Amino acid sequence: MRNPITAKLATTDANLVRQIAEGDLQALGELFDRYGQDVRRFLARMQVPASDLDDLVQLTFLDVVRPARRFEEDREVRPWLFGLAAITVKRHRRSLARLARNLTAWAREPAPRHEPTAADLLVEQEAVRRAEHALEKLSSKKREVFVLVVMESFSGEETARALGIPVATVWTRLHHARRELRALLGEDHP
Amino acid sequence: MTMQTCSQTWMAEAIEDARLGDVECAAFERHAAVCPACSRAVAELARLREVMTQVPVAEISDVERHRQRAHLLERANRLWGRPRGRAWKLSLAAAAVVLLAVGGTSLYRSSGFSTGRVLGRNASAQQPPTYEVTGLAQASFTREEVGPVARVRLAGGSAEFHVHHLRAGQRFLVALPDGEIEVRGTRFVVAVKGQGTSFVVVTEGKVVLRRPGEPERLLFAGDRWDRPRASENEDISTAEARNADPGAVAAASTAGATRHAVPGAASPAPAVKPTAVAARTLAMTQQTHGRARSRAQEGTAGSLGHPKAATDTKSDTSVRATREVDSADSFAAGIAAFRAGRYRDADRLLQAFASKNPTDPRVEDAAFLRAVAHSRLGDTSGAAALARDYLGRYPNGLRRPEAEALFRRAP
Repeated sequence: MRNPITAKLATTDANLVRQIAEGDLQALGELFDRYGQDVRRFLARMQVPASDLDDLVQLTFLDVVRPARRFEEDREVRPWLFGLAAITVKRHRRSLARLARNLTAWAREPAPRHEPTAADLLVEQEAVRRAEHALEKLSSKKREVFVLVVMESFSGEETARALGIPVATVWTRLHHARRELRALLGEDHP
Repeated sequence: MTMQTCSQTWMAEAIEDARLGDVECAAFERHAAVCPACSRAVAELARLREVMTQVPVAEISDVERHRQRAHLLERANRLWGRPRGRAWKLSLAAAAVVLLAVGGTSLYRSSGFSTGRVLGRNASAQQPPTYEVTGLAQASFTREEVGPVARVRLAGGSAEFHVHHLRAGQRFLVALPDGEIEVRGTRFVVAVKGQGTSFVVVTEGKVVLRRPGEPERLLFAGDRWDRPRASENEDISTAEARNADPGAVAAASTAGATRHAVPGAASPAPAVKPTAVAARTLAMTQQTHGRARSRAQEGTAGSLGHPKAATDTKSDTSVRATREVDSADSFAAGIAAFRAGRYRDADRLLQAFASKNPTDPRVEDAAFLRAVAHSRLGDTSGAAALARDYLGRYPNGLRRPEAEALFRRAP
């Protein structure tokens, strides 16, 4: 029987993915322990509504098995996982149920999300609120690259690989994302 | 636009993204030192990064993370157990079902009731489960239902819960000031006093009790958990140092390894005077763990009761005989019997240990070793039943692969 201590120490991310490809549930749990919070943070920054966040985190990890069988050993797991999360978000947005859900949520919310409260008028909180609003306004493609490169500190190559797009496309989208954000945040002064 | 007054401002972004080499970076830095447009571009990019990374993301608690993990593995176990060719379609179908369930959510908040019964809505797969909450003395709770998940927040007092059979995807949780209980189809009583849970008594089915910083506790019918007293030792178990090798387990047991406190062994009086319903409920906990657990799991394969092929016939006598044995001694005695090849004695001793100390973290090892003991006695069906029970109680257990192997050997 394997020693659980040395087994844990020896399990790299790539090994975990390989074990998941073979249907190892413990490995899936370990991967979730390592990156569940990161994926959740990424999805939240991709403006997934709070009511759907936990479900999409779960779907991201549940859908790992098939891609895990094609996982290349030399890849970093974290960007690969974020790429899967980005796909999950895209699928989520295409869901016909989303519109009905939004209508229900809007009818239920006591106040619009971005209506400033007294506290929001403080300068620092106001800036955060505007930043959040600006991020929400970006298209999903620009938001993806901005979140991955600027907020999650992935390299251009890692981002390109995660999203399945050319590196040049990453830089182009990032450039336009920054331009839009600056305009939304009012940093472009004529 | 200020960013376009110099032909080299594009390099500000390239440097921000680490796209330029050292030579180019140095050259641009020299240029930016004398170019207002480019120096402004650098400052604006840095400012943008600083502002955007301040966008907050709510973290989830350890308890919530633990629950999410268990839920994920439960779903994966259901999905991945199916034939490979269908896995993708089934995962999409499951995702669609989840999305539809979320789309059909309703959120209902009500004020607390001091007495009286609250009925949950009729259940279907995408609606909340059916349940009843009977407020006992000074009960204060609210309820919320989101899709197939129902959550009752018990802020104070005590309440009895009856949760009807949960369908696939449905969940019922009781949020406590210091943790939560997840129900697996059962009847139980919870009491909250101050900022903590006083006790949990399960009369039917099983529940999982989660508290921050502690492993999950699975409570079966007849089990009772009481909040540990402050004077009890709460050293952390050295479970990581143990493995299924009885020698290593015994070494850890006898080397003075620190253990979890064993709450529930003593039963202080309930904090509230029970109503007739709760009195009947609490009276059931006066029965032995062994008899209550056997009755609750009657007809369920993999019961913790004795698989008939390989155990003593006078199980009650065995349980009574070992009740007086100290917790550490009975576990150590079971290990010693196992090592000596006395598998029947090992099975009896480990079962008595588990019955007497249901919340001891070594119960998982005891459950697994009982399955191995039966296997070594040639009782493959008994071993498989115990292995299945282990897998059901500890889906993320350390011995899962070995227990699965024992289970697959069933005739």
